[in-house]
Amino acid sequence: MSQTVPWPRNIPVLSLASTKGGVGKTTLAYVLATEIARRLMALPADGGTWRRCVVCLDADPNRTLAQVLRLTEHPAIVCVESDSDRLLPDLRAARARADLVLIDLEGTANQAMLYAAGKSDLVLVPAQPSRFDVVEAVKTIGVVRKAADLVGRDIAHRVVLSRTPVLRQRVAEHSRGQFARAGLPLLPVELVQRAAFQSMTYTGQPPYAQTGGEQAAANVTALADAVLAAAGLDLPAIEVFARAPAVSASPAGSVQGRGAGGLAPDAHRVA
Amino acid sequence: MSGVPAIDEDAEDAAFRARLAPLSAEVLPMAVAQTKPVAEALPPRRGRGGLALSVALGGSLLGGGALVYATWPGAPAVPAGGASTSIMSPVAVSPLAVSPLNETAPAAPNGAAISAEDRDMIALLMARGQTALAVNDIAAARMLFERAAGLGSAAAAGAAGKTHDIAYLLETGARGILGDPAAAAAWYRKAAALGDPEAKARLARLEGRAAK
Repeated sequence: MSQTVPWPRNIPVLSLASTKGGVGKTTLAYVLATEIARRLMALPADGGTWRRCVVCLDADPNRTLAQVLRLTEHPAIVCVESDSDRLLPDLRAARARADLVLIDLEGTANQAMLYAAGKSDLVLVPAQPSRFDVVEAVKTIGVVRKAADLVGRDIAHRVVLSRTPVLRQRVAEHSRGQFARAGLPLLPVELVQRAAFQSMTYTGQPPYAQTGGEQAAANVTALADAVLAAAGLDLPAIEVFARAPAVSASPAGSVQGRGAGGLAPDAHRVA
Repeated sequence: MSGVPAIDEDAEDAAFRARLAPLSAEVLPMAVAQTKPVAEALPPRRGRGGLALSVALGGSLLGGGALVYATWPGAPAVPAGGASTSIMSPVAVSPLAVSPLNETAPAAPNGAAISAEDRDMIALLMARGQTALAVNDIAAARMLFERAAGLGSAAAAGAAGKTHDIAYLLETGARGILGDPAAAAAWYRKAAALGDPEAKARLARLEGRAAK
């Protein structure tokens, strides 16, 4: 995996948005931030074109992302607590020091969500396989699309199914179908329900740093690849770690093969 | 986060905000409807037309709530700092009854312009407040007096000040309630501005005590 796509000069911004709480925004933000930061740290020395920094803007008043990042103390992640009033200046400052900015939002339709969407290169809308989440995801994407109209550019967006069961379940399949029918683009990789994604909130250890977190880590690797691809970005995954066991050892939960749901697969996805 | 934001950056942000403004109007009510789905099913309660009703309702609600507070003598009914604002907020009722503690200066220098309707409401709130005081339910009395004071009553502002005044609380042997000299002074000042002589004296005493 050589770096085929040059990193954009205009620092990319990813947002995690949902009009509903508890869908996995912060979980996804955390695993993406740590995974991308890890990849940045692993890039070969290049005389300083990389800043090797991910800035997370936590615009959720619960500050859950800030809390867990404080536990982690990752050298390449800076977390800034923000809100709708400060979001734009905070974002500007973040772009001046980071390679990538991640915005975690509150689980409701609010001003900060509009601003974040309006500035984002990719908006991720996590949703669990349940009817409530499908409805809210449709609402959220509606807001993103309207924001795109108003700012006069396309804003890429993807629904990310979260906490999906490792085993095949009818309800997950049904939810995937629902998203497809509603015309919502689904990320081809899902955030699978795994203990490592819960224990990390207590320990501040990302899945790749946890013993027994290999399958979750593999899930995150695939997720990050899919997310970066959807944003038109490329950062080589770290090959040395635990990719093989995840593929061979999981009978039903091979995370990378799940959930394409008949949608166009992303070209950059690593299989 | 370095760098002083230049003026053109602010202008750029303002332009960006303005672009999204039409959507804000649409999205923000959606958030409200979503967090409080019950609100849709209920008839509107805080219409401009029904102020008197909402105050009355608020008064009685608060009275009820205060009695609940009062059943926990061990736990402070009021957090020490910013006392009365936190009391007002959970059941914040009428736009009229905004706590004057948020303002540094009293809003109205004299209480000349109290409507007949408000006067009735003040009388009702004061009566209820006195009843609450009579059973040593300071928390309830405080809220009722503050509400009445919000309508422009000097006597109510003075009485509200007393419920925050440690000296008064000691006099009456109240228990399970916290005083707040800052809040007391603010209410006394308002009462004094509205023309309550007793409040002026109590304010002097309070400030004398604070100065020592």
